[in-house]
Amino acid sequence: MFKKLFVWVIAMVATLAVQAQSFTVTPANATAEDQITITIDVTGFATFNGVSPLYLWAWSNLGDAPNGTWNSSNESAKMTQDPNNPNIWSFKMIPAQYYGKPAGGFTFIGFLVKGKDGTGDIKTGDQTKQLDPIAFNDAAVRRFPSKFTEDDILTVFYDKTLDNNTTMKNTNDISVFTQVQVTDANGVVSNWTYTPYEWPNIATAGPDSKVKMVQVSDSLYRWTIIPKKFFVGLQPGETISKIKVHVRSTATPDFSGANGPAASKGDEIYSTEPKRP
Amino acid sequence: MLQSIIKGMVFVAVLAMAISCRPKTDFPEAGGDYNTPDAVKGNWKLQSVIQIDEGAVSKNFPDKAKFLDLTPMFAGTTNVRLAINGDSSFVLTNPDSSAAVMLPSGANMRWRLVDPTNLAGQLPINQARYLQIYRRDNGVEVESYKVNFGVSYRVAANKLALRVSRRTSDGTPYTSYDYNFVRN
Repeated sequence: MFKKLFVWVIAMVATLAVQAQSFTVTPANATAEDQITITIDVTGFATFNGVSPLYLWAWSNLGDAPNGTWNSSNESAKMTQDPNNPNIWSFKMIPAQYYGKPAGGFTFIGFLVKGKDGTGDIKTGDQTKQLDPIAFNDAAVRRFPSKFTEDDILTVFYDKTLDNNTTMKNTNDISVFTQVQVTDANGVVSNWTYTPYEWPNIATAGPDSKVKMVQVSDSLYRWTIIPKKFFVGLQPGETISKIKVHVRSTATPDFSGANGPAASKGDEIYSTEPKRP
Repeated sequence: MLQSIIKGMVFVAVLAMAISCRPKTDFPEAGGDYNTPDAVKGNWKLQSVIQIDEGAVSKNFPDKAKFLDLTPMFAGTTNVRLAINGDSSFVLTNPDSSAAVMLPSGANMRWRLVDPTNLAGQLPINQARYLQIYRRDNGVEVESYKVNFGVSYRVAANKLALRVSRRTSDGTPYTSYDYNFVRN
């Protein structure tokens, strides 16, 4: 009796070993905005004998991918066969794009591999890949929003609590040096231009200067503009393609002087989005 | 005692049958009466403008990276009035009093509520609907703007939230403005 049971267990283990599929997902750590590659080695997996091509069937905590139906997978879910090893199949995706869901909401994706028609359990077991949250990298100088057109409201924030520049941290009168690059109707891009105040003139521009940052709290300052309205002098056909913003102490007299670079945050370059109807 | 228990069981059984046999009541779809023409029409006063970084929302970043209340930054924002009339005219009053106002304005502006049935299966119906604001000159439609609803309200809420978005070439919004109105 014991001998029969032992043989049966050995047979089952052997069967499972033969039917094992080897999955890998790279990179090991990824967010829903990163490209991941799912690879499967189906060597010895009898279920897929004679089955080709293979398809990914995927789901997540936010819902399913565009899989198609169980008996007819979408072609967009077709895996790529390794030209050097027909037992190896892979699938590349950026989860947020592939699923069409907000990147920040993903905690995991799940998937299996199947034949186009999965009827009769022509499939592997379920797999799960945990996704990392998308990190927000806060900075002393930050713009809002991250994407904008020349007609949008752009706000630049300066937060002293995030700054390690002691000269700036001890300054309460803060301005920006700003200028733009424009593209004319022929697609020609200008040098930096249309600055409301040249660097040395900011210190003497007065309290109503258009480039002075507004103090929001003890440590937070903001500067808000609508680029198209702010940079006066734009010619017909010219569009703003890039904006330079350099947060600095209003009193900084000279860029190359002793208090110059130390009392400033360096250039931030923002590209504008094209306008669409 | 046993007789009472049996009577009680029979009563419960009969009651259960009566309940299960009554005609089925079809309740309307939850939220189905949001963003109706009646909920949109009227005279409105602008209360606040919120700028939204859609990319930060998608990434679930902190609120300071997702939203910015423009109302205190642009004096005159609350002077803006909107009339959405039954004759299809769309009249924005004092739009120039605040640079934060990016709703379509001008003469001969009109509105219609678009209810795309092809989207109804993909989105809740109250999100699928949107306002189309257009200009009609000499009977010809010359400009058209899509204005979504920032928040969905029923008529009784006496509120209206309109959302204007900048979009990428594939239609994905990246920056939006929510205009929050109360009935005037």
